[in-house]
Amino acid sequence: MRSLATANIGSTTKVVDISGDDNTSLRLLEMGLTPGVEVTIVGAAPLGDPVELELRGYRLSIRRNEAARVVIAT
Amino acid sequence: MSSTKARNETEQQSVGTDMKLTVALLGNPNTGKSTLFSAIAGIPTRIGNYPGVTVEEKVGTFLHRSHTIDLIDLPGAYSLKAKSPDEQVAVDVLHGNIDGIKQPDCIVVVVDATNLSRNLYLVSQALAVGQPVLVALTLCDVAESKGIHIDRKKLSEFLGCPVLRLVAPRRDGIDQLADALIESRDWSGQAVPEALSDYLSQIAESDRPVAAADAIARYNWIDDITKDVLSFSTKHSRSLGERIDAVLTHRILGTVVFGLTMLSIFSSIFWLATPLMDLVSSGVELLAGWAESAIPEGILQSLVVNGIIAGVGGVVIFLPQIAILFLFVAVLEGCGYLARAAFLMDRLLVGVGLSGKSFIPLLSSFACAIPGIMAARTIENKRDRLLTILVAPLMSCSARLPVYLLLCSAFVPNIAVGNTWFRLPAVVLASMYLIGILVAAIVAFVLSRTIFRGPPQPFVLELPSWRWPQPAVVGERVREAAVSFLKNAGTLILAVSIVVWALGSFPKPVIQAGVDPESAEQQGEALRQSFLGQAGRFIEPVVKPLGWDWRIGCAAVASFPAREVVLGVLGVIYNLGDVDPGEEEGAGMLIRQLRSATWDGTDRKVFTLPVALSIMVFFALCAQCASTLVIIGKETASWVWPLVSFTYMTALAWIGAFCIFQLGTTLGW
Repeated sequence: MRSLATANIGSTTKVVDISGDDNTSLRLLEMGLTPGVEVTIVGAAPLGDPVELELRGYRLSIRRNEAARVVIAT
Repeated sequence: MSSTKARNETEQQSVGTDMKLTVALLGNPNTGKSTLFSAIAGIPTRIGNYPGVTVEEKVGTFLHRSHTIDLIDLPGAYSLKAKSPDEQVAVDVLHGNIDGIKQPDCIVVVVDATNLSRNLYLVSQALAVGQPVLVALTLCDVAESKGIHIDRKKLSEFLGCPVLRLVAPRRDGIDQLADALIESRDWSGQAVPEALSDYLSQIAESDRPVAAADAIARYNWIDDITKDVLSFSTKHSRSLGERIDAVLTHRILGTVVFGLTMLSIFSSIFWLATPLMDLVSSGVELLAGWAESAIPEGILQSLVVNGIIAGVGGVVIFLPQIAILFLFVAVLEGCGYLARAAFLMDRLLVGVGLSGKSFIPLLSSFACAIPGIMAARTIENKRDRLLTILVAPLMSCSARLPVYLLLCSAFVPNIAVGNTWFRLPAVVLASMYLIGILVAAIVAFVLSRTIFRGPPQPFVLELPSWRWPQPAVVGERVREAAVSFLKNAGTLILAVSIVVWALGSFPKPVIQAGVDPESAEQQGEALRQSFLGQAGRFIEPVVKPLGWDWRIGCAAVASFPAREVVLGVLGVIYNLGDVDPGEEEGAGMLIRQLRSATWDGTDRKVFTLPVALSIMVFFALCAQCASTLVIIGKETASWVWPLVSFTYMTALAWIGAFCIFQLGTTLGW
């Protein structure tokens, strides 16, 4: 299982699942990171964390430990 | 004349009929909700806090075709499955669960046309509340310029509610929206669209947790809609916004631009505000002079001049700093940079238990902790916000600067450090700032791992698309901050000033015959005999380990309302009369007096380098600022946190001062 935290900057991938069932996972789903959606990793902050994503036509920033919950297509 | 006539007709029509309508404005953050609010309702008629929480309550009233419409601006929410106090308030208001606030007759969901898909998630939940729903599509002009087209008619059919197009700053579509609000009275509630119900009914079959399956079901429904409703006229190309982003969130360039931006804001809080602060300050002096001549000498004059005007006036001079800071914050927030600043600084601040969003409040606190603590309102997460508020006063504010400057120039030898061109006083001055930052980092680190320990707080931050800040919204932000600050100055800070004045003025000294009661000696004696002076002597055993005599202790106690007061108090107490620390001559005299001061009954000097350092460190870390404590109380809606701040900061200040004094004495500085 690959997670979004390991994806390269500039790459586009598809969300497969969100692991965990707490509020953080729910918030990620609610922000539109649902199975099947396309995500581009646009960049990362100076110290490598958080990362900047593009999905559903908007920009979202999440920390790497949250990105690790996003399972992506291999 | 015609407008008067129209108003009369309106008044007549409204007599005897219930024409009052309550409408809630719901929407994701950054959807132009505030712009829409000020376009419809203008300046809010009521701003306050919702009972028990610090979430802002904003209500505006406007008249439309003889109907009085109360518009409630709900805090920005991504979901009605509340995860933050902001969202909880939105849910409670929508269901009429807050005392004193009527359940809205109609819900207007503000939807950002450039970001339809995610915005429809909140719409899908609003449709289930049961009250009539109206969708207001904002930023349509921006969406169209990006080549995004939305078929409003189809969207309205999918949702089962009206969808109106709005360009709020131009007031396009506002009348239609108001008309629709009035019509909504005749609707028989709101039904959840069938297609959505179908998706939701399949949740039971999913093997995911219910909440997750619910979110996925809603997005499945949304994907069906957007497939039909959204069309793009241009192939998605790199837009201007994306190119700006490529620079501003770039690892190196972004950091450089960020540093320059923050540096210019930081310096403008000081330099741009200085002339205005001087203006306010001379206004205060003028007022004091006028009061002195208008009120006969005596207790009343002293109360007005030394208590009220000196106390409140000393705080009001920070108004320009607050206005300028909030102007910058509102502009940066309006154009979308604030979110990027949080993005860039997050990793650094997470290391000490804070969050990227703590950066602006902490930076602002170098000017003054009051606007800094107020700026912490932009942090939605309650824990991060509280932690930021608790450490913000440790940043060395501009009120500490005169204290540092005086003591540095009086007692730190003006020699070079090693073989560098750095002078020792400058190094000591810089160290005071560093001590504050270092201690704040340690405190935040410790608190976040002890009493503020809890599950990790998600950092899910939308980076809104770049846009021009709306002048109306910026103006409203500045006005709000200024009014709220002045209100505090006029009430709580006023009360504290009067109390400290009374403690310093009573009991009245026994005046010996032939002594001028106005003389510096007599004023010093009066303070010595006052409750404040008694307190100073009472705490002498506590301050002795810091190298202080009772007079410094008394000055520290008296400077509880504001740190800079300590200079004036030192002046009075060392028999100098009133000393204005801002004036070269006065400061020079104060320095000479302090240098020659000796311990009672001996010729041992009171002020040595370790003592001066101990005073500086104490003032760097202490919570000697009544206004800050008052603001902490207001912003946290609790008296516990100001008490906690005062206690922990005073304890740290004492420990810090003790360490530096003992170290300095041992090393024979």
